[in-house]
Amino acid sequence: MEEHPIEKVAAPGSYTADSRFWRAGAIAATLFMSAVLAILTVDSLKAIGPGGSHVPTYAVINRHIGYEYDTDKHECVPEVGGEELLFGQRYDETQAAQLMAKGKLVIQSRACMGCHTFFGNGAYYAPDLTKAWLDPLWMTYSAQKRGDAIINFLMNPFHVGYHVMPNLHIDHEEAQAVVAYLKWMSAVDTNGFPDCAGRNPAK
Amino acid sequence: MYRSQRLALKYLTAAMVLFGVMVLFGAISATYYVNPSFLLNTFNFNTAKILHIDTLILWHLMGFFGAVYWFLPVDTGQEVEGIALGEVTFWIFCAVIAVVAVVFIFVQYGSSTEFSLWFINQGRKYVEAPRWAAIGVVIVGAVFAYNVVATALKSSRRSGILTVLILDLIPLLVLYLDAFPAMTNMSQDLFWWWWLVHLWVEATWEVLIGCIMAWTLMELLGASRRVVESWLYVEVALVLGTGILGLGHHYFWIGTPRYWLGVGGFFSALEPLPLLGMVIHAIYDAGRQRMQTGNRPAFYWMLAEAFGNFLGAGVWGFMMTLPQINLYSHGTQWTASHAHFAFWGAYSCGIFAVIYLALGKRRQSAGLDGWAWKWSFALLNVGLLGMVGGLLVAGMDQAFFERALGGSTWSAFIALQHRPWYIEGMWSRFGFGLIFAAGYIILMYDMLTIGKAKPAETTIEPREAAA
Amino acid sequence: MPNALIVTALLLGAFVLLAGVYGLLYSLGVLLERPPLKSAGYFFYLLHFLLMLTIVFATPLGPWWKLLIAASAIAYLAIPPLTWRHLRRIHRNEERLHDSKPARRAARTLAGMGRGA
Repeated sequence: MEEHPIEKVAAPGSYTADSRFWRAGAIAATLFMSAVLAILTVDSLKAIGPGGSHVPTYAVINRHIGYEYDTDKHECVPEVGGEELLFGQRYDETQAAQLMAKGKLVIQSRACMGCHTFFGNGAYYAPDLTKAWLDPLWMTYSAQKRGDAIINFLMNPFHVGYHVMPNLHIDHEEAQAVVAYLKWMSAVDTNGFPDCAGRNPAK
Repeated sequence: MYRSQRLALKYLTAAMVLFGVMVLFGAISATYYVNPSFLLNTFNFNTAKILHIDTLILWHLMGFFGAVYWFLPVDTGQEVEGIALGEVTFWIFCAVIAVVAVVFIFVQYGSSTEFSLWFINQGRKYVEAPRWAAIGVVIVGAVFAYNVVATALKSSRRSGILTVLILDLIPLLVLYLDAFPAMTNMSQDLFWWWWLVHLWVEATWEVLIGCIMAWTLMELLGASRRVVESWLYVEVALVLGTGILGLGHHYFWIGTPRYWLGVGGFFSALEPLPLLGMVIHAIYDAGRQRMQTGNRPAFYWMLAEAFGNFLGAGVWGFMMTLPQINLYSHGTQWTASHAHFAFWGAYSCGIFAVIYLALGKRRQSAGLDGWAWKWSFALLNVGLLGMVGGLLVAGMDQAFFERALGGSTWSAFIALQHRPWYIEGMWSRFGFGLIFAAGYIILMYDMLTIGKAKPAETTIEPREAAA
Repeated sequence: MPNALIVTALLLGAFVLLAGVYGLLYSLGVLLERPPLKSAGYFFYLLHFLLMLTIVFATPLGPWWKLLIAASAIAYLAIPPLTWRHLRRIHRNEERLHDSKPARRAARTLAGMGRGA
């Protein structure tokens, strides 16, 4: 095969001046990184499925959830404790999953992510809701009453502070589902997000 | 002029109109921050913000499509295959966007049913458009891909740039399929959602703008095809080499395993390195031209692209990407500061350069210059820097006081809203946003009028391959 | 960590920014053949390097992250000259290609193909 003209003029040994070197590099880098991503994705999907290492089953809403500082990990971690029923009802896994599906549908249909963040993702106009179930404001209510208090707020948002939550016409059933969703979310292991100032004895 | 280039001008015009819509809803969104009871329960913040960020994505997509339709016939030396279909899908695209916007504005949200997801609002960031509209976007994208691939197959000239573009279109379109599902599990939802968002804006879009800039360099500066292709391969190698696993910097806090803190942080920290290379490249090319060109606005917007990309994506991104910082900066106005700067530098400036290049060819004037492009360049960049600065100050205040000291509680969030630096940051963003809007108005005036002194309809000759 | 949060973030941003300033001035110095500009570039690289040392010795980042920052500093040093050299080389090769006899023959062939297409 006739030598490419560029090979006659390119300085000897300067393979980096040959675009074919970089083309090969681009292909190799893309394929290799994509393969690593695929492998890590398979592993991660196992961890983030309900019941995985980082994400609890939906029936966790029947239990007490906490967020305490772990001195070994140097961060707050979710703690799942004893039975603490939501709305005075024990949900099996199927019922809990249905409730979660409803809750997520409410969150999407009302575009809650247009004002709030979930695991820090969304909009920054309103508070992050990752640990909303465990917010000190709601913790002033007993566990049995907390769910109803949040439901009342979702259905009739009252003025708290500078920003005002609008009334999104959330009915009782929808609000229940959202509260259950928030309780489940607060039990996800987010590697310490949000940082739990006040619970860390070192601070 | 090729029929494809006429379509390109339509896309680029639509892109600039959408840019204006984005600016309008950006100004409205900024208003709520300084006046929270603004239009409460009539037109809430989330609706304004959705319109702002969705038009952000759409104006860029239209700009990319327009750029490709402009360069494709020149690169292949022939009319684009199936261009009639492309013309139809352009109007479909516009109609879909218009209907979705009207529904967002006047209906806003629905009840918690599948109907709402199909016809009103899906509520997932950037892809809130209802499913029927997402189908429309898929159709438009598929036709676009068909136009590109069919033209390449029919042409006797298939450049390296075109090959890279075609390969890039595959993940670009496949990733958009994440606009459809509604997963119950938020961790899973966000896991796949980030494949779409990150692997668009920090991978496939970077390759796409790389191809577009390669063509632009050839047209604007007479750069050799072999040289720009060689550089394109360098860019793809480094950008995808760092950006694919840089996806991990979105997997710190969504419930995924801890190793993502290391993987994501490491590769993300490497992402600015190729951006520095792009700055050097821009200086080299500017130097070869001795800063002389007949199309000054296109040239300067290209330079703004290289520097803006480095600053907005590189510097601003690096400030917040390590997990130790990101734990506190995540989901704050700091993020918004980076996002505005990065999109502007990495993509917006490049599309403006293409538009001016196309205008220069279309209007066949002796050279594009004047006062208006300079004023718009200044106002837009000053406005953008001011917004970014205001958001950064507010964001750092938020990261420190609400997140680090306050533990991200509701009352910490409320207390933040009363902090002077936060308030000043929000007012600053609002004020500079108005300056940015003024820049947009002058930009539109300039794009409509520049080079029109001697209108002459001439045929655009296809450029020969480098010979 | 909270006390060092903002300072560390600003140091990290400045770290990359200074690398950019070094790259800009170095490139301008080579382009315009002005050694003082090149020297100014190296001065900003020195600032970048000192900033790296500050990050390594005065921030609470973990040891592996500090190693990454230190390694990045070496990479940032190399990127402007290597990139410039690469660009110059590929442009020169392109110019030589146009001047060489086989290239002129190839160009005529390609031009012929273009007319026939």
